[in-house]
Amino acid sequence: MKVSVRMRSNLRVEVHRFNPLLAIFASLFAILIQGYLPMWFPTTAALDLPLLVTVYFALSRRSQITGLLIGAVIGLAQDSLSHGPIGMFGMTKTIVGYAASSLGARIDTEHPGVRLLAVFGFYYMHLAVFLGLQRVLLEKAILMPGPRSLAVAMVHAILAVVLFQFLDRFRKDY
Amino acid sequence: MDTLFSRYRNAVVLVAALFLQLVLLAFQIKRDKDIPLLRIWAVGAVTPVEKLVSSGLRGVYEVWHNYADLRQARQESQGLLEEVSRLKLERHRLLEEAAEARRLRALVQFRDLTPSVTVAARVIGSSASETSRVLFLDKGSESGVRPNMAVITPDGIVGKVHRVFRGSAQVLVITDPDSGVGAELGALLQASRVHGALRGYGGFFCQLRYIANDEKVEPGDLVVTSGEDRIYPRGLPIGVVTSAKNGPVFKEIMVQPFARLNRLEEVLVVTRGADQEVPARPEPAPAVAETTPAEPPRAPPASAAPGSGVKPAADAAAKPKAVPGLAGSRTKPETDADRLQDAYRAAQAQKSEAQRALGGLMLPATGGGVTDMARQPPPSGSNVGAPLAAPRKTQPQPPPPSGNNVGAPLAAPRKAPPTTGGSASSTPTAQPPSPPRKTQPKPPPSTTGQSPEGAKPQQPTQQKPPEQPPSDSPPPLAWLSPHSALRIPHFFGHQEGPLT
Repeated sequence: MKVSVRMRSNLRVEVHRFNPLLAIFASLFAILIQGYLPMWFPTTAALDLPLLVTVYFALSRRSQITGLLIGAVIGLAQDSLSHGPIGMFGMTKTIVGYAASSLGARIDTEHPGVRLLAVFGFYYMHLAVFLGLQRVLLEKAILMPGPRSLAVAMVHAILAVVLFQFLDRFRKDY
Repeated sequence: MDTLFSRYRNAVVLVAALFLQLVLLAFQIKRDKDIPLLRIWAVGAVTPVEKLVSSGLRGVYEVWHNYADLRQARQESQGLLEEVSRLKLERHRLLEEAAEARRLRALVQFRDLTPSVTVAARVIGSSASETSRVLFLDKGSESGVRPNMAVITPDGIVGKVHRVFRGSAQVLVITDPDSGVGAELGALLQASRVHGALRGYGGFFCQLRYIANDEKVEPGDLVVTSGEDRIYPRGLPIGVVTSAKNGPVFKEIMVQPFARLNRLEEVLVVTRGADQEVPARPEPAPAVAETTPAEPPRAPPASAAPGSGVKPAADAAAKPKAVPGLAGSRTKPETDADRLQDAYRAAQAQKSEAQRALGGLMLPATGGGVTDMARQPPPSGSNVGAPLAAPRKTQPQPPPPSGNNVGAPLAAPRKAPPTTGGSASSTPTAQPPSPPRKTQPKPPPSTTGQSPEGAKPQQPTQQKPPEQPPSDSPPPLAWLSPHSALRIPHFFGHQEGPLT
């Protein structure tokens, strides 16, 4: 059974359809890798692969509701595997998913350069929302991101270009 | 309302999603409670996959590590096998060198302790037939080896030099049937001091001959050289009696040599034999103090003159060489010589105990006891040229006028009093009182002209009181003790050529 997600933008952008199992597997795999890689490579703990998956599906489906729901599910799953209260990553990725799908509905995000810049921006957006929620809801002190966050954002952007190209193989244009 | 919802549907859904999560978050923070159900679902969904991935990665790693990454394992294994083989050979070589070093150390210690002048030689061959038991040494006339020189080891005597070549020598082993033919090997039983003649019997045994049937000889008795053959210095160990039974006239006594004649590698050739007991390894000082004061200083033997090459016996006894690892300090046997010495001591102690158990009867000490003999100045005379003849059983005779026994007739084997426990005058032995000495049956014709009647039994002129307490120290070996009564300081001269 295939669930088709049809996206028809007002800008006549392409609508892509994905196998839902692929979406589930990709989300689950991203969460697994996120918890598994730091065991072997501690520096990979800075990566946020669920964010990349959220952004990809939100950009591709170009539906704000779908995007925010995907972000909410992935964020809640990430919360469930973390030690913090459930909902922090959920709300953050809900907002990012909504924003990414909104962006995807307005511009063509097939170009790698657009994807690079979009992911770079969404990374900072994710970071800002998360820190803001932590400060407002949990009353935690905010550590302002330093230059390292720039490199991490760039790594995310580059990795997203490669990952999105790989995931594009599994979608079907509608 | 419907239109408003439809128009802002996405925003409403977003707000709703955020609100729900906010409520969820607030519930956790307000109640300080977790949402276990959500975590259980997430963990339940993730952990099986994690297990699968982990096991898969582990499998891949193991496959790589145990199979794919073993490309060089065969070459490495081959190299290691070659290394193991090389190390095995090296280990074998080192073990051989260590064993040789131990043997040589025992040999050197023995050579340092014995008063005789010896030449170390290596056994390089043996006889080519079963019927003749000879050895070939790597030392010959160039090294001073001459025929009829004794060949010994720390374990015991080996044989005598039979033929000498320029760089080698042929040794007739004492077990050869021809050994003792023409010139019998003078031997005596260490405990009873009964003299006899030793002859090769073939195989690994010798035969002790010319001991009367009425003599008490038991398996286990130790046999040492008597020195009467003028080839083997007195007191060297020969072997142990393995069987003794009465014959038509004399006992038929089989002796198993101490020396491992089939496994000899290094031997000593006695170039100048000193007819003296081999000094023991350094004994504890009190034992020496108890026995030595009674003995006057000995006059150096004539053959021990400077330049003669013969070590003075008194010097050897008075100044035992500090050889490391000797009996005075060792706690367990290190060499075959140590084991042999321990075996001697044990056997001697056992025999002494048995003799004490017979009633504590003391052997009467004669005026011409061996200790007195040792104290007397060396008599003159020589027994060179006198062959071994019939054994005899007499009281100890006064020593010849000089320290050199060359020329003194060896008419018959004699029976000397036992020397267990050091000197006979100071240490009582536990043998029953000696009955009047019996004259043994006449052995083969003597060439010395001295008849057995000349060896009449003598009554002891000095008898030890039986109540004298025995010495606490175990009786030292006669052939090893520097204070043994048998240490009669007469020396052999250099012997060359066959004995007549």
